[in-house]
Parts: sequence; structure tokens; C-alpha cells
Amino acid sequence: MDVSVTVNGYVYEEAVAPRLLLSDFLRHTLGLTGTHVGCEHGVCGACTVIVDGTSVRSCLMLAVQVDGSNVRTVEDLADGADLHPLQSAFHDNHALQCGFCTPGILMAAVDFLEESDSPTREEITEMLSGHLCRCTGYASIVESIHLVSRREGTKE
Amino acid sequence: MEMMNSFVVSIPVDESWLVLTDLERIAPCMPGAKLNEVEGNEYRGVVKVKVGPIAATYEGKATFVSLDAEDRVAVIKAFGRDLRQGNADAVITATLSPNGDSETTVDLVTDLSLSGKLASFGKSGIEDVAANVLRQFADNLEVLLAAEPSEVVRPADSDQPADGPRPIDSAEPEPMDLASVAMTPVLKRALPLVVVALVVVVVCLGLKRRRR
Amino acid sequence: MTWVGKPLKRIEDEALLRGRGRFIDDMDPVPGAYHAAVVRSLYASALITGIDTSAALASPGVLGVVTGRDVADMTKPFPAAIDTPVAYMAAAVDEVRYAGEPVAVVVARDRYLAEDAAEKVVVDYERRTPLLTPLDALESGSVASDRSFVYGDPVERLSEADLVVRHSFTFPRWTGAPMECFGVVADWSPGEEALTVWTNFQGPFTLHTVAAAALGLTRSKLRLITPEDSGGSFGVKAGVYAYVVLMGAVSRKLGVPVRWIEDRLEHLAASGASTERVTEITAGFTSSGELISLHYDNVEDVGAYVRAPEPATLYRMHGSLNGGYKVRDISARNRVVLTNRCPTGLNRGFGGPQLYFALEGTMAIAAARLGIDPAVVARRNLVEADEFPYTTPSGAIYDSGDYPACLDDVLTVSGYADRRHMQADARKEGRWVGIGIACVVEPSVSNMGYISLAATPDERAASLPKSGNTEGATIAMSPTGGVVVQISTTPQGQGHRTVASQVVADRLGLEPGDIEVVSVLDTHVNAWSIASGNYSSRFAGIGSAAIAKAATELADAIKTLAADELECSVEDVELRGGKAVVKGAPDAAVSLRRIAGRAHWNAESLPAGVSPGLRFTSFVSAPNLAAAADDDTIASSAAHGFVADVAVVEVDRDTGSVTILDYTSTHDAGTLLNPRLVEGQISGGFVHGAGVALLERLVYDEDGNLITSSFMDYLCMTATEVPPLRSSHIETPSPFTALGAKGLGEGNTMSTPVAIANAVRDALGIEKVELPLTPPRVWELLEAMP
Repeated sequence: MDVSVTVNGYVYEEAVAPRLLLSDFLRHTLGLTGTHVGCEHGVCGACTVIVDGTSVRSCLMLAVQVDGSNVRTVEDLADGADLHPLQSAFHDNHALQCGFCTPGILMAAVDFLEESDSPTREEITEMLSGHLCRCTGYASIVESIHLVSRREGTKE
Repeated sequence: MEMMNSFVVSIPVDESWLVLTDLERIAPCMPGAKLNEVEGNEYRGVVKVKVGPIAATYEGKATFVSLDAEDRVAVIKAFGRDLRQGNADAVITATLSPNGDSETTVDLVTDLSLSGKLASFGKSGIEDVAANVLRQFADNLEVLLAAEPSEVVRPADSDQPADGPRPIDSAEPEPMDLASVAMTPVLKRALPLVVVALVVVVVCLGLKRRRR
Repeated sequence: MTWVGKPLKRIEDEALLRGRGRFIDDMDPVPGAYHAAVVRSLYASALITGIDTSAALASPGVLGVVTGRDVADMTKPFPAAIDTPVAYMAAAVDEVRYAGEPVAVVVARDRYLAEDAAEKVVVDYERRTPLLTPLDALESGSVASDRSFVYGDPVERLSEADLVVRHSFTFPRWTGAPMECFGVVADWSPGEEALTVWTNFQGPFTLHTVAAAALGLTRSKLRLITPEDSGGSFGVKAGVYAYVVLMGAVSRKLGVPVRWIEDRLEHLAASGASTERVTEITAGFTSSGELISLHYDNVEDVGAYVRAPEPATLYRMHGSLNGGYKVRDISARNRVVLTNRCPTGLNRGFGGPQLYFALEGTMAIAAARLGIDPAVVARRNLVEADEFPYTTPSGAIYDSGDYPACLDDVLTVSGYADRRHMQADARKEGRWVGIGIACVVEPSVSNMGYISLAATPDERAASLPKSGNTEGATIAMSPTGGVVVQISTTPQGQGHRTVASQVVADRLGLEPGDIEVVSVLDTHVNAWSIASGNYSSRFAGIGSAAIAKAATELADAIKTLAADELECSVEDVELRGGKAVVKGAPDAAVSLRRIAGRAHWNAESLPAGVSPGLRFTSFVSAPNLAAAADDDTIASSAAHGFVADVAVVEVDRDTGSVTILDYTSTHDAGTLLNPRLVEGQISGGFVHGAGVALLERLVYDEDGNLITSSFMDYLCMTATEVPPLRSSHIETPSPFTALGAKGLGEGNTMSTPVAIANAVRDALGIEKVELPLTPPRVWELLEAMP
């Protein structure tokens, strides 16, 4: 099936198998390997991307479902040499170790902060509960998102 | 795991024994089931299942362990396989007992072993689904009995030739739609639960009256 | 020394945050690799009576199907440290011994087609009754190893005891569950009869030897290459070597490069697990709480096969049977049993969680029976600060420490005395609040010889003694003065590259940002040895030492050249700010760029003692790691940190849920190389430990199927479940490691499970506690209470 989709501002016209997962489409068809696959059953959140302004699990969507859509992945966050404020906060607060879950968490956090004005720590924790991280223990991730939400990201 | 179920048939126990052991007659009562062939003591069939857009076909076979016409107890060993979902092994003990003069209680004790995804995902809701499937079977049986009361048509009562399977010509079943039998909370994991269908097929198969 | 010890931000982050990490599934190292899917056993124990591959072979896009029989024709059983009644092969041949065991491999053009075809492989089985618990295995005689150890006279001392505690402890099977699963790309070269494999293997590289042996290759014919990034491991990825062999055989059989990326269901069912250990403790105490006699009876379930490096989980802590205590009279019986569950392997803490669940649980039980505060009992038994280095009864040499100070610190920081008052008040209100203490010695930098304790002294005498823990690193300075370091520590998120840049920057007078650190390990290129890799928290103690040594050799060469240039003695040269400077004469300086240029461009001019090229490879091994002695003592690790924890919990009597109200942990990990990374390791290790305390367990049904087979059922800690943690530090530098540093990433995985268990014991006034303390299990405990 033919799919026309805008990913990170570029339009792609691709012929894909109907059963191709969006995660595999992004990673292997388009080579955007920043989106990671941790469970393929929608629990871990590593594959989270933003489709038409809403964060989704790309392992639970088919590529054909994004026909005509606008997709953002982690590769789109930084502006050239400048990191996105969330990326900077993660760096400053040691909110990543192996970094495998990080792209999904960043994308979910981007969506979350666009929706929520000044979230509490509890709300951030609640949002983050949809993501698994086995390295950090989460506290530094909550801290990073909280800092950015207060526009006090310690971006240097 | 062990499951216990029972249902009531609205005919006397002697008659029930004959009806319920007439496998080819009652197989269509089992949602999604089709008996394909019988060879010696082994009965083979399939169960078609669908959940939403997904359909699966389970191959099942069953053999007698024992059958006691006097006490009306049948013990059946059954095996079902779906290459995607995993295998199911069951030993089922079916006991028929009179429920007053005009009805029969059928008690089933199923010792079930599951493997593969069936085992991983299927266990939590399996008893609910089993009960539902069984109820559907019993309802269908009532309809059958109402339409064709008492007369029991048996295949040639003489021993069938032992060489090679005897094919059974029956209509293609409608797939059992698990969405209609499974409880909603378990639906998201329901596909593997089709093992229950196998269990009920086995009930049908197992009550076949043939004796070694 | 200016950079080591600073909380530097990580150089790893930039790429990872941008989605530019290079994990195994992001790489396409061999063009045209085919995709593999593994057909796995449906049963925990069965004979394979037939395999029909015809439908799979006819499936679209399929190149071939390789069965266990085919694999067996090309490989040998994996060697292990002990003889085992059951040969372990990369795939099952006639018999399957755990649900999820590889039975065949289907190779196709893409993964979707491979998985389609894998579902069409029909395997007929004859089921058998599986062995599923350590004690069932023991009863059935499924024992692979049985060794007894006696140090001092524990029997005699037990007879002197005022209190004898006998208690059985079971530590559950669980797993690290890294976010990235296994991945292997295998490329067999026909003609050369050599195999190249890209894989997210983590070491120890002893297992490279094991894999080569199974493939029938000399080590030089098996080239392993790890990617720059690995998505966590926590020990589990040591087990990927079995798939190196499996996919190597498949590539060889089918004549194409093969790519296999494990999925989560495969990972949870078949990648590995911690051991389940049943420990029967018999401990003698005086009436004042002094531990005078200690006996362990360990039954260790290693799963379906003794998979190397097992039975290492049972011996990693062998030098530390006494924990942090002065008890000298100790015995242990270690039985290794085989069950029909997934083979076990490395898992964060590696033997420590099991040991301390029993030992620290015993201390809490004894304190409660004696009516003495557990902190007082611990304090009475801890090795004193003036006793270091302290040799334990079983042979460990505790390098440095101040255990009483560490305990005092955690009692102060946690407000222990006030907590006890609060607990008393809470009890008056009918609330079940409990406080648990754990004191653990955290060994790091393992001795390669400890596993040989699984063999008797006579058996050991027949083979080459094993000792030490060799690690290597390479450093090079380019013709323009750039510095590149190659490490062989296969990091999986710990930040080794950052710390390496700090270590090197200090020695060369540069800034960390000037140093490029490459973490790819290529066994044909890197400086590595059998101990290399990322386990037993060995980076801080020995990985950093290899880097420091290589950097020092480069610094010495630069100083020699600079002294020649500046016409001064070498001792007077120091490196700072990118220059070699004469001490006390800052104007007398030469840039490193000029020195590097000379070393590369003007080799004829080099002074004696300086070789051209400016590239140095150094190997180190920590001292005091002798081979196991005839009296069965072993210095099992080079460094020993200490962790003292206080956990405060409340048990909800209506729901059985356990809430951690407060958690405080004091560490002594020697010199802290990078405090920022230290906190990250502690926080992560703590959450792992809290995970097995509260949620995580691999659960099997009565047929041996894993029923916690997805992340819907294997419950990892999420952000909402993470308890609050306060950490505190004291530093007693290790005299046995180059930088004084000790490992610290595993300590809380050892201490936290038992600290929480002890707090629940305290809250409910009970002794028998099993992990994880899920609400249903606590509910059972409540029901059983009088």
C-alpha cells in the first residue's frame, strides 16, 4: 500500500506492507533509528512518537495508519546544535543512562508539556508511569521534566 | 490447572447418555466446532474462532482413556494445537447423573495443561470463558433436542473398520465469535482463550460411545 | 588530579538524546543479512519426537530452517566450571529442558516472513513431568554439584550459643529486564572458517572462549564486535553468547549473514534469570547479640543447564560469607540443582541479594528474639575500623572501610531514634509501621579464580590455577595532539566513556572534552583479556586502572619528549593546559601538539626510551587476588564497599500493600570518580532492589510455563512506585585499586530487598517473609498471623 506521510518535516511517499508496524517503518524503512522498540506490546513506551500532535506507541500502530499524518520523532527535537530544553534538562540532571528508553520518554514529555500548563510532580510521575526505565530509578527524569515545566531548565 | 463445570440437559439420564455420546449429532452444537474424521479410537476435529478481525483454527484430537456406561463416567484425553498460540492437553472426566426424572446433570472435571502463549496469557480468564462457551453449547443442545426429540440416530453400530480414518461430512461451522462469549474485561487477551473451545470439543468427542 | 571526583556531565548523552545512539538493531554491519526467528519449546520438559519443517520451508521468503540436530552437527556442548549430567547445546536436539528453549531457527528475507514461517514449524513432543522448584529438584536427585566448606569450628561454637536461629529463606527468581533485548548479527566466512559477530554482549570475555569452544573455533577465528551503545544489561546480556553460537551455526549452515533481534517475550522466557536460592541458616548468638557461629545450607536452582559462568552466583560472594561481621566460625554446604526452568546467569548483585536476604534476615530475627535493637546487634558484630585490611574466614581481603561509621551515618541521616519513636506512636494508632536495617559488604572486581571453588582442591589441582582480573586499555595521541582512548569495559549506560575522559584528562593536563573515548570492543582490535567486560562493578576498580595506566605511559612519553625539547629533566615537566611546562617556570613550555607532531613526523629525532607512534596499550590486574587455596579460601574480589540502609515501611492491614515511608542508604565506595554518576547508579540499583522486594518475580505455572511473560505480567517498577531515597557517603579509599575507587552499582540491589523484608518483619512482628512482598502475599502473611 502507498503511504504519504510527513515525518520531521519531510514528506515520504513509500509503498509498505499493510502489516508493517509504524515503529519498523520509522526505523527500518526511513532509517530513523532513534525511536526504540522495547517490548512490542505497548507497555514500555520506548517507541513513543508524536502523530498529529498526540503521543502514540509506534509499536501498536501500523504504518498505513499514518497515511496523510504528521509524525515527529526524537530526531526532530534538537534545533541544529541546540538541544531541546527537555534534552538539555535530561543531560544536566543525569536523567538517562543507557538511553534506550529516553527517546520515547522525551516524546511523551514534549506532548505532555504542550498539554499541561504547570504540572505538579505527581502529574509528571503519573505521565511517566507509562514508561519503563531500568537504569535511572526515574527520580532524575521527573526532576528534569519538572524543571522544564517551570521554565527553569538549567540550560546552559 | 483443574476446572469444574456442569450443565443440565432436559432429558432423562439414560437418554442423555445416548444423545451425548452421539458425537456426530451433537458436534454442531459446539460453537465453531467441526468433527472431521475418526480413526480407531482417535477423533479429529477443528474449532474456528474469531476475535474481532482475527481468526484462528485449532486442530484437536481426542482418545478414550475409559468409558463406564454403567456409572455413566467417561474419561478422555485430548490434545489441541494452534501453531501460533501453543498447545493444550486435557484430561476430562464427564459424569452424568439424574436430575429428577426428566433431566440430567453433566459434571465435567478438566485437568488442563497449556503451553506457549496460551499458558502465558490465557489463564486469568479461562474459567469465565469456559463457562460461557459451555452455556452456549448447552443452549444449542436444548434447541437440537426440541427439534429432534428422543430419536437417537447412531452411525452403524457395528465396529467400524480399523484401517484408515473414516471421514465425516459435516457443514462448515460458523467461527465461534469470542466477542460474544467472553467477558469484556478479558477480551483484550481473549484470543488465546480459545483453548476453551478445544475443551468443549473434547467434551463432545469424548462422550462418543465407542468402546475399545 | 582535577577532573576525577568532579560531577561531570556525561559525554555519552549528546548522541543518545538526539536519537543518534548506535544500538545493535540500529546497525547494519553486513549488507544483505537475512533475518532469523527462533522456534522455541512449548514444554518445560519433553522429548522431541519429530520436527516437520516442510510448511516453513515453503513459506514465502524463507531461505532455510536449521534444527537443533543441524546445530549439534556443527557445535559442541558449552563447557562449564563443573561437570554436569546434562550437556548444554545452543539448541535442543532430542530433549527440551525448559519452555522457551530454542528448537529450530527459521531464516527469511525479513523478520515478518521469518516469524510467519516459524509458526509453521511443527514439533511433536512427548511430555514429561518437569522439576520446577529447588527443593523438588533436590528431592529428585537433580544435583549438579555438592560442596561443603568449614572455616573455624562452627559446630563447637554453636554449642556455646545462648540463642540458635534456624530459618529457611527463599530468594526468588527475577531478572534485570534491560530495555533493549539481545541482538546478534552473525557472518560466517566459508573458506576462512571464521565467524564475525556483532552483538550487545557485555562480557565477561571468558565467555568468548566458551563460545569459541562450542563452535569448535580457536579464539582468533571468533571475532566479536560490540556496538557503541547497549540498552542496559544488569548482567543479563552475558547470556547472549549462547545465541552467538546459535546464529553462528545458522550462518554457517545457510551460507548467509544472519540477523536476530530478540523480542521481549523471548527475553523474559529464555534469556536468563537470577538463581532461586533456598538457604537454611543455622546461626548461634550470645545473649548480647554477638554472632558466633554461622552455617549456610544453600540449594541453588540454576535452571535447565549449568550455563557458564554458573554456578558462579553461588561463589561470587564466597569470600564474604560473614558479611560485614566478625564471626570467624562458618560453614556452608552448596548444592547446585537443575530444574526445568530457563538457565540462570548474571543479574545485578549476582549472589549478593541471595546471601544477604538470608544473613541480614537472620540478624533481624535474632535481634527481635533477643529483644535488642537491630542497630545495636549490627554494631556489636561489625568489623572495626582499625582491623583493615581484614581477612575473612573464607579468604576475602576486605581492603578498607569504617563499617561502624557507615552504620552511625545512616542512623543519623535516617533519624533512626526518632523513627523508632514515631513507630511506637503509629502502633498506638493501630498502624503497622516497621523499620528494617541492612548492612552489606559489596564486593567488586571479581577474582577470575573464585568459580573454581565449585571444584574440590584435588580437582582444581588438575587444571591451570586461575587468579587475578586482567583488564586492558589503549590510548593514542594523533600527529596533531588529539587523544583517543579505547576501553574494553563494554558499558551499558554506566558512563564509562565520561569517567575515562576524566581519568585521562588528569594525566595529560587536558580537559575531558579533549578526549575521545571509544567503547566499541572488537576482539580483533581492542586490548582485552578473559576478565574484560562489564560485571562485578569492575569499571571503577580495574577498568579505570587500565585507562589510568595507559594514560600515564603516554604522559611519561610526552614528558620525556618535552624534557628533551625544553632541556630539563623529566621530573621537572608537568602537563597542564595542553602544554608540557617546566615546574616553576611557566614560560618554559611546549604544546602537546608540537610534541605529538615530532613523535609522528620526526621519528629520527626521538630521544632514547621514546618509541614512535605515541600509542600505548596497558594491562593491569588488581593485587591480592590469588587462586583458590587448598583450604578452600579465596580472595573473591579486589575491593569491598559497604552499604548500610534503614527502611521504614507501613503495611496496610486492609489491602496488604507495603508502602515505603522513608529509605536511607549510606555507601562507602572508596574514592568517588564522578559523584553525578554515583547517584545515578545508587538510584538505579535501589529501584532494582525495591523491585524484587515489592513486585518483580518470574512466576511459572505447574507445567513450567512462564506466566510473567510480558511487561503486562512481569511488573517492573514504574515512576509511581518508586519510593523516596536519601543517600549519603563516607569515603575510605581502597588501597588495592589504582584510584581508590570501589564498585557501587550493585550494593542496593543486595541491601534493599532484605532491608524492606526486615522492615515488614518488624511491622508485623513475624519472621517468615518471602519476596516479592506483593499485596496478595502480604495478605497471606496477615491471614497466617495469630
